[in-house]
Amino acid sequence: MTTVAVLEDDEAIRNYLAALIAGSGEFNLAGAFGSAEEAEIFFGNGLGGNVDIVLTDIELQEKSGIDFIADMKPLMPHIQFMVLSSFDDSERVFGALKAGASGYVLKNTPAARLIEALNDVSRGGSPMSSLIARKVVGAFQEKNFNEDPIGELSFREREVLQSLAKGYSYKEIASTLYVSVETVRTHIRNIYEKLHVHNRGAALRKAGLR
Amino acid sequence: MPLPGRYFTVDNEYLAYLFVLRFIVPRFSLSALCLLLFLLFHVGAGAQTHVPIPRFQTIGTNEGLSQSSVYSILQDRKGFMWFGTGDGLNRYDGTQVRNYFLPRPAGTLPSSFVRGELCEDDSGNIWFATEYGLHCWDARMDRLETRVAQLPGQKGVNNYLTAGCDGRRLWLFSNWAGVMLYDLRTKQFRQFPFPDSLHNWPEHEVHPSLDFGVEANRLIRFKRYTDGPFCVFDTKTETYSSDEKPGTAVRIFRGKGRSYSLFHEGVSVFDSATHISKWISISQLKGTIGPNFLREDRWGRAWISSFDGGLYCYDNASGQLFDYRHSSIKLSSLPSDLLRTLYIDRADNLWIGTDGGGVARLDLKPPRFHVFPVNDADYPRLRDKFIKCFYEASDNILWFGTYNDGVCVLDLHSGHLTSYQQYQSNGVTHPFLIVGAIDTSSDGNIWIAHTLGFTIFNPATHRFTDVPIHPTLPATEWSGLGTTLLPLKDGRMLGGSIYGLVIFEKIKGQWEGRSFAKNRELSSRISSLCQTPDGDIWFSASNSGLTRLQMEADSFIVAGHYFDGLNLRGLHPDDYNPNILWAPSSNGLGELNIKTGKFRFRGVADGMSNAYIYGVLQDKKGNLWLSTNGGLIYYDRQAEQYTTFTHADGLQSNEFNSGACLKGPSGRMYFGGVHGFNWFNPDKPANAVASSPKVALLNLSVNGQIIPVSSGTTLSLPYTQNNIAFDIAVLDYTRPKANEAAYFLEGWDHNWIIAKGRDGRYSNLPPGNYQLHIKGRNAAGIWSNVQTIHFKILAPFWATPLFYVLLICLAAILLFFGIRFLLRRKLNEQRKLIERQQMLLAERARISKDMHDEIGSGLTRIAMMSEGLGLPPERAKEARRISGAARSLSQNMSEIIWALNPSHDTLEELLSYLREQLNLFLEPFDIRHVIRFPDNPPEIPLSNVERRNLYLTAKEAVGNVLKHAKASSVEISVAVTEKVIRFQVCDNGQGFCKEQVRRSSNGLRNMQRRMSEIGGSFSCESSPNGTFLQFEMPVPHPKTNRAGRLTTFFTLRWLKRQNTFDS
Repeated sequence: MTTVAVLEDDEAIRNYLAALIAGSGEFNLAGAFGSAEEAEIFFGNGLGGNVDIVLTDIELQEKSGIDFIADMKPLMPHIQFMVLSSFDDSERVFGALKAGASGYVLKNTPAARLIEALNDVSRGGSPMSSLIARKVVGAFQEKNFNEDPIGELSFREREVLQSLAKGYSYKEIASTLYVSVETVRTHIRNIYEKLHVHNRGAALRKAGLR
Repeated sequence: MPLPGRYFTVDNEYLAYLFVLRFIVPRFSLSALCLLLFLLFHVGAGAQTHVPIPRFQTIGTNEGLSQSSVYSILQDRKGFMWFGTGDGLNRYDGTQVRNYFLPRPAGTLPSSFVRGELCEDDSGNIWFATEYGLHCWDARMDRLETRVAQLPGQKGVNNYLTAGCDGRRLWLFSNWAGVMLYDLRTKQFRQFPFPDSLHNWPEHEVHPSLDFGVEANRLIRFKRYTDGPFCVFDTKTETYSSDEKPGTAVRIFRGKGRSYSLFHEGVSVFDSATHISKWISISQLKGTIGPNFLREDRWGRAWISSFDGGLYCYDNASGQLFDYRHSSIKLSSLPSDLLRTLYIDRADNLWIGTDGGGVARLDLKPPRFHVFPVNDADYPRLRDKFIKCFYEASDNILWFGTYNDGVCVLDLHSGHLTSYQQYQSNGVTHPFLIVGAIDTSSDGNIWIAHTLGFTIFNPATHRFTDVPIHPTLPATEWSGLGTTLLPLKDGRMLGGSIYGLVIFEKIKGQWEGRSFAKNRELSSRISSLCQTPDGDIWFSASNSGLTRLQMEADSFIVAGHYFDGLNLRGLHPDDYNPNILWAPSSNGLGELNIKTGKFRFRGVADGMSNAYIYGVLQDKKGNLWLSTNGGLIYYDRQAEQYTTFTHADGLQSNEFNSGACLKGPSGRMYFGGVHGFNWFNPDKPANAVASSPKVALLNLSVNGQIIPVSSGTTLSLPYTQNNIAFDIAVLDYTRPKANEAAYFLEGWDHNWIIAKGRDGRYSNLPPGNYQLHIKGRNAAGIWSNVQTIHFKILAPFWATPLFYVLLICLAAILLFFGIRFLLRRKLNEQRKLIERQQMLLAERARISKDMHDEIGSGLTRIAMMSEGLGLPPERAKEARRISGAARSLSQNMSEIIWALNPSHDTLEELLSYLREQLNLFLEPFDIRHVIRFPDNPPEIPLSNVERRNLYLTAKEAVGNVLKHAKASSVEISVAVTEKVIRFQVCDNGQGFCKEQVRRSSNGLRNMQRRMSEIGGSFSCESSPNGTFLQFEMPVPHPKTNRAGRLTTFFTLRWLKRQNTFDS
């Protein structure tokens, strides 16, 4: 069973999410926090060792969700972060992904789809919208990505990314590339990973550790 | 017998005697001496030499002289003649006399009496001294001014006069104070008082003498009192010496190898080569004062002026003495007998300063053409001087026939004229009237063809005899019976008359004539006759051309007729070519080849100045002299050149007469006209000494204002002062009217311009550098050196190159700022527009953000809270509907917001979004869907309205398929061409009935409206096998042209600079 933690400042929604996850039967709820600080204390005390997925909002009272992800992801790389936000503007979405999020779900997503997305994340990564895919393509074309050969995308990954940018669905991509949907998903997970790697490098550089 | 000059001869043997006489015989015995001289004069009367008959030209107050008493004469280096008079200084340029007077400041008394010598210094200034000081004509300022008002030691009669100048120093002489030198540069005076030895003033001498003169540019020779000794001051050694030689010569003049001592009674000539002295006595019978001045010309003649006895000329070569005096009946005689000074200019003109008669000029050069008469009044018995014919009896005896004055015989050497206005024949006196021809027959008689017939003059008996003619011709008084004569080679004489030919033969010692009255062909009015070397006789008749006759026994046969109707004025067989006959006519010069009959006429078109030709004569080279109505023309046949001589060259007048031309045995040519005749030897031209004239620019005026001329400097004139006028004076005085001036303005003219008159003018000269060249030609045809004056007319400031450069710079600056201003205005407008758009966009973005943030999150919360978790199933269903509606609303809103977002403004964005949304939309349904979008759609910008409408139409179309078509598959495809973006939605459903659908649903109408809103079209086909839906919109074209793009480019740059636009 996948264990999920929720970070949401709106109490009504937090309760709803907690109820939804707990009642889904597919996930364990590790905890529901109202702020990033609370969550950091929770994880800092080593309580979140079994947490697989953190579902977090971006607009929080103090520290933003993105900063939270950026701080936590290098410390606990095994945890998948998924953003649940009412904003779908590309800056926020892309910022979150770069910070280390593996999924991004809008709050108006139906409950069933939300669970599905959580499943996707637990399997490696959530689907990427065409808009975000385009951003990612742009990010990989930036120069400093090439500095790190690990961060470079493979040919297939690039193909997948470009198809995503054009709005193709996993199924369509799988059929055009003659691979399975799972393979597409793996590619996407790798793309996320490489994005994180890059971002991690940048973060470490920023911290003076590298 | 009117003789222009009386002549005297002096013998050497008399000289010693005369000297003795001069010193022994007391003064009162002067009359006795004169008696003796009178005898001498008559003894010498037999001598016969050629005398130039003088013609004096007078310049008096009528010609502009300031006063008629001329005391000093000078020709300056420029060539002007200067005359010092009792009232003012005069400058003469051949045409005009300019007067200069001393300024008279208020309260002073200086007069303009010019005394002493006129002295020219190195700068061309003219100096003279009077009792009022030292005066100077300033060449630069062209005015007379007093330079030194009070000379040192000057008081009362102690008066200095200018004696000479060596260019830098002026020599002044006073009979009381001695010599003084004035340095023209330092303006210092140096006085040289007489030494004691010169102070012995004899008590009985009361008349101080003002006689002094400069010799050899060095010695001042003077006499302090009338009979005193000569003293000399040497300006080099600056010492006085006394010339103690005996004699009381008034003055001494130096000539070429001779010295002349002037005495009251005459002149003593001392030849320094032979050491022989000659005495020329010129004292008159009356008590005259005698000679006072002397000049020797280049032909060795001494010209002597006397105080009151006129002008004398002593020819050293022949020893003859001539005198010239004023004559009240001659126009060109000496204007006065009271002479004061003499001067010979560089062109050998003698200038005579008289007291009361002005200045007279006499040309000393031998004339090119001798003229008779020199003066109108020389021969009072001649009334009209209308010359008809010539006959040269001997070397110096010339017969000529006249129109109204009968037959005259002139001794060319002595000028003696004998006139026969009538004659006696057989005891009856007849007038000569018109004399047509004079010639001689082989027996020595002189024949005269005249109005009344033909008359013979026997030179031996001096008797006239009329020659009888048979049959008698009717004599007429006014038309002239005898017109021409031709001595034939066989001794007979042929005469021409108005009734035709007359042949004269000597029968039994008596001449008899025979006329051809019955032969009409020989009875024309004959005007001229000649015989060609082949023996044929030629005659011309009035207006009936030329007839050729051949002699046959006693009569003539007409052998030819030429030039019918032409008015021939004479005939002349060529002296050297027997086949050529020259026929002067009123229409040019005819040349007839008598062998071939071919002829040619020469006239004005060939270069002749006048084609009315009276006579032709030939010189030894065969060249022709033609007498015309426009003077004499010399025709050089080799060079085909015509040279014209006119009255200005010394001809009697410009008009000549037919028949009045002769080349005599002496080789001289005679041409007669209406005012006398000329003679000259064409093969021995007069040994004329021709000198080059000087030329001067006078009265240079700019815009009418006369300005001083200074050569060597360049005159700069502003552009408004560009009207130049000037006079050119050709400073040759021999025949001023024959002088010719020419000018050439370099920088404007291309050739020399012969000045009509003597003035030139240039108006409105453009700015530039100019050189005005002038030159002059004298009567002898010799050009002067060219004189040049430089001047430049400055360009106005707006025509200088600098100004043009500045103007261009200014224009460039204006253009630059103008463009910048316009550009800035445009940029500002653009910026404002963009700012407005930006504001609009920002506002839109804000609204959409607010909408999304506030309404969207609200809807989300509604959706989540109404999810119905933990609710009973029946209520949960309702709650799920609420939640579904909220989610759907939220979805729609996010689509609208997507469309509003300006960053999604391309077709590619639209297609990506559409694909994604369609995938999401169609995924939950059990329908196979195919999306065929171009992989790399072209860059087509789409506005938010276009995006929204396309998106919603497509979504509605797909929605309709899901709702109504019951299809198992749907295909959505997009095709982009250059012109349209075409959407196609195709399904395999059941189709629909159009009418029904249209009535019940507004879905199709909605789609139609949406497409027409963005200028597109919508179509729909439906069949039971499926529905095909197509909608398209034209590809929007940016409406920017090149200028617009440029403006946009600048705008963007501008905005970048201003940092107001963050792209």
